[in-house]
Amino acid sequence: MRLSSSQRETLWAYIFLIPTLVLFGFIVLYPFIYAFYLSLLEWGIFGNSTYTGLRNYADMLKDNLFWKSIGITLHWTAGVVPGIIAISLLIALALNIPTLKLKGTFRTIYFIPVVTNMVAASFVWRWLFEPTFGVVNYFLGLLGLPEPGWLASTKWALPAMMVVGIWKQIGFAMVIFLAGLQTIPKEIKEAARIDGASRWQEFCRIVLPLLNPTIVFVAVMLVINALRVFTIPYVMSAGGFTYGVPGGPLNSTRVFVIHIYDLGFRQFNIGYASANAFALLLLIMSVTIIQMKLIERPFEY
Amino acid sequence: MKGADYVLKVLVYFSLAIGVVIMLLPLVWMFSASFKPLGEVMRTPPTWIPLQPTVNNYKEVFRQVPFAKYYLNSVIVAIIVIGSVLITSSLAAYVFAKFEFPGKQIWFFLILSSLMVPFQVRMIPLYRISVSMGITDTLFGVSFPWLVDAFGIFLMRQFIITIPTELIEVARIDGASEPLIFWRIILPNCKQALSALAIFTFAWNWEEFLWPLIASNSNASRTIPIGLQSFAEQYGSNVHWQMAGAVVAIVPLLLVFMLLQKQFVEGITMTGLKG
Amino acid sequence: MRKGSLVLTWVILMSLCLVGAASPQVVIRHWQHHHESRTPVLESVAKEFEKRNPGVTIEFEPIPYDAYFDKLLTALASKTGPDVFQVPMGFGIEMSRSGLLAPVPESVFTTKEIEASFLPWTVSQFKYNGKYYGLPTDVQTLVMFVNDTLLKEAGLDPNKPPRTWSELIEQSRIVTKRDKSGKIIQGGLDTRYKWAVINLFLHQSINGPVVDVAKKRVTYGEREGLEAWNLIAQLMTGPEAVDSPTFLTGQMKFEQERAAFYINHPVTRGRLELNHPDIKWSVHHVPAPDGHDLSKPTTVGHHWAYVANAKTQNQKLAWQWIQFLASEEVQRKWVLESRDLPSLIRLVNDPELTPDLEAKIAMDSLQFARPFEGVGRNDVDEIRNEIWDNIVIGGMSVEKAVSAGAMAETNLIQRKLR
Repeated sequence: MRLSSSQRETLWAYIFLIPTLVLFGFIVLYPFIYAFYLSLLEWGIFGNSTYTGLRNYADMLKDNLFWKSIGITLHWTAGVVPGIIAISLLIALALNIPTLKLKGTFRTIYFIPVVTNMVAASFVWRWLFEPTFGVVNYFLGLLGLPEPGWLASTKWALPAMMVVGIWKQIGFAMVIFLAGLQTIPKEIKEAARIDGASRWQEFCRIVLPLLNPTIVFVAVMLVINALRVFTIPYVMSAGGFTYGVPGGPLNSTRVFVIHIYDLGFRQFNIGYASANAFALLLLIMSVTIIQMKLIERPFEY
Repeated sequence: MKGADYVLKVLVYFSLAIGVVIMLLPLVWMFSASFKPLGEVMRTPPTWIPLQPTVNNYKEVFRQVPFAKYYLNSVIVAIIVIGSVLITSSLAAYVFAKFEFPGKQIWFFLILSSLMVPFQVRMIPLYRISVSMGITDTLFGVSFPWLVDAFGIFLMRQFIITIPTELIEVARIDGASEPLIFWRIILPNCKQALSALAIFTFAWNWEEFLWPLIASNSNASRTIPIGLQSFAEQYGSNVHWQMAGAVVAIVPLLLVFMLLQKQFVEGITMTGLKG
Repeated sequence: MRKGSLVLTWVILMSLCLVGAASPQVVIRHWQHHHESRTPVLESVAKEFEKRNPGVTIEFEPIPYDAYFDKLLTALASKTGPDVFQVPMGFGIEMSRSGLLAPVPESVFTTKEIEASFLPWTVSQFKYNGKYYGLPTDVQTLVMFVNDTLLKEAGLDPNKPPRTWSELIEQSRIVTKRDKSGKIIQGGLDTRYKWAVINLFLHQSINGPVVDVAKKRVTYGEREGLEAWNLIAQLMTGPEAVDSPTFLTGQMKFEQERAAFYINHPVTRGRLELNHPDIKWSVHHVPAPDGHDLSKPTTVGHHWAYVANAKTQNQKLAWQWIQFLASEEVQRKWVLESRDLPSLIRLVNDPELTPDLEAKIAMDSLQFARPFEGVGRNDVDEIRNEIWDNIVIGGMSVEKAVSAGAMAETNLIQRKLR
C-alpha cells in the first residue's frame, strides 16, 4: 500500500513524537488525571477518603484564601515579569555595544543568580531588607524616605520578594535577549544612523520591532514561571531558621503554589489541595491561550 | 557627539558595575560563609572577610555526608535528564516546526500546558508510578519526572522554525529518509541551540531537591541538594556547612556556563529567533 | 561516529541506573528527620539491635527536617512507607484513630507496663481505645535562656532573672534599647520562636484543658487564655515593646547577643555551646503567671513518638525495635549525647543524667511540664501564629484576633475529630 504524502507526513510526525508522548503520558498526563480524581475526594491523610463529587470545588470558591492567593499571584506576575523584561533588556542592550570590554565576564556575572544557591541568596536578601540594620533602609534613611518593615510588613513583604524574583531571573532573560539582539543586521542600524536617526529613534523604530518575537517568547516563559512561583516566597518567608509561616506574614505572600502546598502537605488536605491546583491550571491556561493568540502572528511562519 | 558618547559609556560601565555588585553579593557571601564558624555566619551585618577563617566546614561536609557519592549521582542524573530532554525536545520540536498533521495544535498546547501543572500536585501520582514500576531508589527513578520538558520543546521549535524548509525538501527529493534528514540537517543546524538548552536543563536539574528526596531511600540514589538540605535541622540550621557544600556544588555549573556561554550566544545568533 | 557513541553511552548509562539494590532477609525500615546529634546515636543503637537480633537489619534513613512530612505523606498516601517512623505529639490523637498505625502488641509491652514506666504526658496523646500507638522520643520542655552579660550591663542581677510574668516585662523593658527614631536595637525577649512563647503562656495561664478534646473546642478565647494573649500584646506592641517583628526580621537575636531572654527547648544548649562559645548564658525555669506557685513554674512538654506502620510485615519486630529505642539503656544515650530529656519515670531523678546545673534545671522542669495541647501541627501553629500576627503586625484588638483564631481552631478540631 502506498501512503499519500500527507499520510506519510502524519506517520513520521507521530513516530518522531512517540518518545515525547509516551513520557508525557507517564509524567504529566497520568498524574494529572489521578490528581483530578483526588480532587473529588475528601481526604485527610489520617482518615479514609470519601467521594464528595465537586464539593471541594464549591468550597474553594467560597474560600477567601483561594481568592487572596490568586490576587497575590497576579500581583507577583504583574510586578516581576515587566521588571525582568525591562532590566534584562537594558543589560542586553548595554552588553551589545560593540566597543564594550569584558563582555564575557559581564555575561557570566549576570547569569550567576540563576545558579546561585537559594539559601545563600535568601540570607543576603534578608539582611539587605532587614528593617533596622539593613542596607536598603539605610539608603532610604539617607534620602529621608520612609523606612518600611519589608519582610515583617504585610504591605512590603511581597515587593521585597519580587525584587529577589527579578534578581534571580534576569540572567535567563538577558541571555535570550542578547541572542535576539544579535540577529538584527548591522546594516539596517547603520542605514538608520546615516539617515540621521537619533539613538532613541533607532531603538524605537528598528531594535524594538525586530526584537518583538524574542520579547514575546521570553514573556510567555516568564509569565508561566511567575504564575507557578514557589521557592522564592517560600524560602524568604519560612526558610532556614526563621520559624516563619510559608506565605507570611498574615498570608500577604501566599502565592498560589504555596497555597496548594500548604493545603496538601502541611494541612494534609490532599483532595482540597488538588481541587485548588486545577483552578490554578485553568488560570494559567487561559492566560496562556491569550498569549498564544498574541504569539501566533510573529511565531507562525 | 564624541563627548556625549563618552558620558554614555561611563554611565553604562557605572550601571553595569552596580549591577555586578548586586548580582555577586549572595555568591560572595556564600563563599565567605563557607570559611566561617556558624556564630560568625549568623552575624548582622555580615563580615565579608572571615574573622576566624576555617576550613572545618569543608571537612565536616565530607565527613557527615558521602558527598563524593552524591556528586557522582547528581552528575549521572544530570546526564540522563539532559540526554533525554535534548532528544525528545529536538524530535518533537522538529515535528511541531516543520510537519503538518492532524492533532498538531492540540498536542502542542497540551504539552505546553504541562509546564503549568505545579510539581507538588504531580508528586503523589508520580511516586505511585515509581513504586509500581519498581524504580524508587534508583537513579532512573530520580531522573524520571524530568525526562521530557515542555520548555525545551518550545525553545527548540523557535530555532528549528528558522531552518529553511527548502533544505529539507531538497533532501527528501534526493531520497533521504526522515530520520536521516533529522540527523543530518536538523541537528547540525541547531547544535548551538541544543547547548543552550543543555545549560538551562543542567542549571535547573542540579538544584532539584524535593523529588530526589522522595524517590531516594539510600545513598545509592541521593543527590547533592539532599546532602545540603540535611544540614537544616529542626532546632536550627547549620548554614556554615550548607554553604561549604553549596560552593562545591556550584563549580560545575559555572564551569559549564563559562565553557559554553560563547556558543550559547552565537548559537542563537546563527539561526536566529526572528519574526 | 561521535554523536552515535555519545547516544549509545547515554543509553547504557540509563539502563545501568535501572538496576536496584538487592535486599537482605528481615528488614525494618526506619525514618526520622536528620539531627546532627541524634543521627549518630540512632546509627549506633541500630547496630546494637542488629547484634542482639541476628538476621534483622535496621534500614535507617535520616531525612532533612524541612521535607520530612513531604516525604512521609507521599509514601503513606501511596500505601507504602517505612515500618517505623517518627511523628510529633500533635499527630497523636488523629493518627491513633486513623488505622494507619499498629498498636503496641501485649506480648511486647502491656498497657499496664507502659503506664507504670513512662511519664503520663509522654504517652497520653497516643492512647486510643485502651491501646497505645506510640512511644516517646525527643522529649523536651521549655526553659528560659538568659544572657548574663546583657543583664549585668543593664544593671540587673543575672542570678535573679524574672520569675513572674510582671518581672519578665519589667526586666525585659530595662534591657531593651532603642535608637533615636525609637527603633529597637537590643531586645528584651527573643520571640523569634513564636511557638514557644505562645504555647508557654497559654498553657501556663489556662488551668483546665487548652484544647478540650471531649467537647472538640479550644478554650483560649476565654478569660484565662486572653490573659496570655494580653501578655503577648504587652511584650510586643506599643512604645514599651521588648521585641518587634521589624527588629532583625528572620535573624537570630539571642545568639547574636541582641536579646537578653529566650524561651526554647533544653536541646538548644548543645547548639549554643558549640556555635556561640563567646556568649555567657545560663538556663533558668520559665517565669510563671503572677500569683502562681513560684516553686512549680508550669512549663510545656513536647515530644515526638516512634510509631509502627499498620502495613508492616513484621509488627512484633517493629515494636521490639521501638521498645528498645525507648528503653532505659538507650534513653541514657538520648539524654547524654543528644541533650533530650528522659520519658521513663525512673530516670527523672537519676543524678548521672544531670552532670551540670543547666542539665539539672532542664531535668527538674520535667516535673512541672504539662503536655502541649493541639490536634495537629502546622495547621494548629498557623492559626495561633495568625492571632499573634494580627495583634502584633495587623494592629487588631486582642479580643477580636483571639476570638477569630479560637473559632478557626475549634472548626479545625471538629472537622478532624468528626
